[in-house]
Amino acid sequence: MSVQPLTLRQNFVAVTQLRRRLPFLIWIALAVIFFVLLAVLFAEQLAPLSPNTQDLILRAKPPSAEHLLGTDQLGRDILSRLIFGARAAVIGPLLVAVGGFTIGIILGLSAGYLGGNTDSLIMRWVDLMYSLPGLLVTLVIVGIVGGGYPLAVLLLIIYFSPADTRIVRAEALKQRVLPYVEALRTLGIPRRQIIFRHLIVNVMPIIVSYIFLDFAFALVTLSALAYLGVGVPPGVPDWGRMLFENQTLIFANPWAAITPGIAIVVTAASMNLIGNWLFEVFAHRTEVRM
Amino acid sequence: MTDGRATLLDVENLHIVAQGNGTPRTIVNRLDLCVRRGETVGIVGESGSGKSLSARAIIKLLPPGVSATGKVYFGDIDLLQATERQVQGLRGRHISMVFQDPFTTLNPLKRCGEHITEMLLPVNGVPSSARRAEMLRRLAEVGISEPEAAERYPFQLSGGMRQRVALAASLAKDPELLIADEPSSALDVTTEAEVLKLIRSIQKARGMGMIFITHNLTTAFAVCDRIYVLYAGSLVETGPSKSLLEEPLHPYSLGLLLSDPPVDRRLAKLPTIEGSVPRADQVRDQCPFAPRCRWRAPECVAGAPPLVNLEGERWSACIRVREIRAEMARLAAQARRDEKSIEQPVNSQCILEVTHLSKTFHLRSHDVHAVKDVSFQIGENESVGLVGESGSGKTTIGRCLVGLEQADGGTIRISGIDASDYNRLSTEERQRLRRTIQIVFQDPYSSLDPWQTIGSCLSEALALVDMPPSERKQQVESLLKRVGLPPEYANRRPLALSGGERQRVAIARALAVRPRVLVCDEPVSALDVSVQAQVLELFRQLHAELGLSYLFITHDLAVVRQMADRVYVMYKGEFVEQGPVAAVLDHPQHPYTQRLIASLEEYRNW
Repeated sequence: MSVQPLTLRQNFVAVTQLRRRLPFLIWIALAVIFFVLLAVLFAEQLAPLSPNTQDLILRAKPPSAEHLLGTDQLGRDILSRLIFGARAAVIGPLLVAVGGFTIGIILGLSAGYLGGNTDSLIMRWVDLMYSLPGLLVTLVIVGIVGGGYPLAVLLLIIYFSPADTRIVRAEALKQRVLPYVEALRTLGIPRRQIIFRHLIVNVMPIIVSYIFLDFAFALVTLSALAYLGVGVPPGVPDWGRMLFENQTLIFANPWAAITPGIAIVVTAASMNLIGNWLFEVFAHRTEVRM
Repeated sequence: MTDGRATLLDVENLHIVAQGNGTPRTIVNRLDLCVRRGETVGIVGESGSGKSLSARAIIKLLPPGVSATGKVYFGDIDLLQATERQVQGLRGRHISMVFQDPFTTLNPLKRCGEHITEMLLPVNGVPSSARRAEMLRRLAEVGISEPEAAERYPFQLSGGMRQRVALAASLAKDPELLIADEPSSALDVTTEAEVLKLIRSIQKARGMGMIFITHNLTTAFAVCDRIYVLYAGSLVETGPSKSLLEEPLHPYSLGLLLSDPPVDRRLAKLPTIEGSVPRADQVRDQCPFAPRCRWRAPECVAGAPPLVNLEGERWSACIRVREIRAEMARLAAQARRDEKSIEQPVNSQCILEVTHLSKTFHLRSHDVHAVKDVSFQIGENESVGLVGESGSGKTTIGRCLVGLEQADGGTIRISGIDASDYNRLSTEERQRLRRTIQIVFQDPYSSLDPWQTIGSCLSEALALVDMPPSERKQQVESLLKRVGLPPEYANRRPLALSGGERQRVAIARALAVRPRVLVCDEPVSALDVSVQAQVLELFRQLHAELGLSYLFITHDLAVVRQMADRVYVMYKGEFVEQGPVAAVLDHPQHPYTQRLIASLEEYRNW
C-alpha cells in the first residue's frame, strides 16, 4: 500500500529527469533529419563532386583537402556518395512506413470497428504474416526475381503492414467503446462516416508517431538488404551498399566504411527519438481533460 | 489557535505550481491549514480547486512537474525541506493516506490479508501466528469479521470491502494523521454511508488526526470537525462544520450549499451559480469567486482578499462579508423553507412502452442477469426517473432503448415502432426511431469527438434531418442558444470547454434531430456541484419548452426528486418499487428503497 508510492515516486523522478532531457535530444534529432532532408533535396548543389566520377589514380585514399572523407576502391568521393545516398535512405523507408500504414489503417479500422467475421479474417491473415520470416522471404524473392529496389520496397510494405494493422486495430477497439462513438451511432451517422471521419482522426496521433518508428526500422532493414546485395543496383549510392562495398578498405580509408554506418544509425535513431517523443506528447494531450 | 489540543500538522503559505511545457501554472495559492491531534479537518472543493494536490504535497507525493513551496510542519520537521528518506520514514508510520479508488489501490495479485501483514510494524521474534491474529484483529476493526476474507484476492471483494481493506492497511502502522482523499466517492450510496461512518468511528476511537478531502459538502459536514473551503486554488472560508453549515460566511460556500439539491422536496427553481470554475491562474490577484459572485464590487477584483477572522474560529476571505452577511443569511433561510412545488400527475399518451425486457451478459465464468423481466411506460412530456446503484442494470435499460445493446427478451415500442431489435428494422424505420429517441451520456469529457469543432459536430447531426447546408450554420447557433452557449462556441473544440459546457453541447447534439424522448444516463454525476444545478435547470427548461419526455437514469435521489414525475427503483436487475416521486421518496415501501433513503438521512444524525 504505502510501500507502492515510494517506488512510484522513484519512477516519477526518473521520468521527470527524462522529460527534461528529452527536448534537447529532440532538437538534435530534428537537426539531423533537417540535414538529411537537405541532402535529399539539394544533393546536386551540396555534393562537392558527382557520386559516380571515378578517379582510378586516387583509389582508396584517406581524407584529403580534395576528398574530405577520402575515396573508395574506384576512386569515387565518399562525401558525395554519402550525400547522394540520402535519397535511397529516405525515399524507400518513407514509402514503406506510409504504405504499410495505409494498408494498416484500412484493415485495422475495419477489423477494430466492424469486429465479427471481418475481424477474424483480417487477424488470421495478420497471424499468417507473422509466422513468415518476412526478411528472408524478401531476400529470396528479390534475389530470384531480381526486381531490385522497387520490389524490395513493395515487399517490405507488405511485411510491415500486419504489425501496423495490429496497432491501428488496438486503437480502434479503444475508441469504439467511447461515448462519442456511441453517440454518433445513436444519432444514426453511417458507419463509413464514423470510421473515416471520426475514428481515423482519433487514431492518427498514434499512427503518426508509429510512422516515424517504422521509418527507422525500414531504413535499417533496407540497408541490411543492400548490404546483403539485394535491392539497390550496383553503382547507385546507398548507405547500406557503401557499408558492404567499402568494408575491405577499413585500413586504407576507414571513413569509407564507418561514415555510411554512422549515417544509418544516426538517422534511424533520430527518427526513433522523434517518434517516441510524439507518442508521449500525444498520449498526454488526450489524457489532459481541461 | 484557541483549542487546547496540540497542533499535529501546520501548513503555512503552501503554494503549488505545475511546470507544464512552458509557463508555470498556479494550482494552489497561499494555503494555510492546521490539524490538531484527534481532529478531523475537511478540505472541500470542486475539481480544479487543488484539494487533492494539497494533500499530496503534504506527504510529498506530487506528480512529476508539480512542485510545492511554503512550510508544512509535522511536529518540528518541515516536510517540504525534509529529504526523501526522512519523509519515507514518516509515511505509513506517522502519516498515512487512503485513496479514492479502491479498485486500483490494492495490488491485484496479493491476498487481502497480505496487504495488512506487510504493513504491520516489524517486531522481532513474533511468531507468524501472532502476526496473523493481529492482521485479523485489524480486519475486524474495519468491520470485516469473517477470517476467510483475508484469503481472498481484491477482485473477489466488493468496492466497499476493498476500501475497508485499504483502510486497514493504511492504519496498520498506527499513524497519527490519516489523509483520506475522497475515500467514498467511488462507492454506492448505501456503502458510502457505511464506509464514512466507519472512518469517522475509527478516527474517534483512535484519537487520530484526519484530513478528509471531498467535493461534497454534506459528507464533509457529517465527518469533519472543521472545514476548509477551497475554490480555484484559494482558501475562501474555514470554520467549525456545524456553524459553517448553519451560516456560511462566503458567497461561494453559500452557493455550493444551495446548489446541492434537497432530497426531501422539489424546488420550483434550482438555485445555480452562473459560470464555471476559473483556473487558479486567472484569479490569482483577486477574489477567485468574484466573476461568479452576485455581490461583486470593484474592490473584490482589486487584489487577493486576505482571510479575516470574524468570530471564534470563523475565517472568511470575503472582504464584503460584514455588509452582505444579513442578506446571505436571509437567502439561506429562504432556501431552507422554500416551498415545495407539487409535481403534476401526467396523464398523457404513452410514447414509449417496455414489456418484459430482459438482458443477460454472458461472461466467461458466469452469466450476469443485468435486466430481469422489466416493464414500464413513459408518457408524452413525462419525466420518468430510474434509480439504482451501480450494477443494478439501469444503464443497460437505457442502452437497450437506443439500440446500443440488444435485449434478449421482451419488447420495446417507441412511438408505434417495434424497437426490440434495431437490426431488424428497415433503414427508414430505424431513421425514424433515431429521430424519436436520443441519449445523453454521463461523461461529457469523452462523449464528444475531441478533434471536431462544436459547430461541425452539430451540423453533422443536423445533416441527418436533411437540413440543407445553407441553413445549418444558423441552426447551429440557435441550438447553442437553446442550451445556453454563445454562438462563438461553434468554432471551439471540446478541449477548450469546461465539463458543464461540454454536457450542454452533448445535449444540443441530441436535440439536433428533434427527438421526443431523451434518455439521460447520469448526465450530471460527472459534473461539479455548482455546475450540476445549471445543467439540471437546463433539462427542466427544455422539458417545458419542447415537451420532451425523459428517462432520467441516476443513482442520486435528490436529482430524481428534482427531475422526475414518476420513479422506478431498480435493484439487481428488477424494479422493486415504482410510483409518483413524492410517494416513493416520502413513504418508501420496499426495504431497499428504505435503506437508500435512510443512508442519506443518516448523515444528519451523526
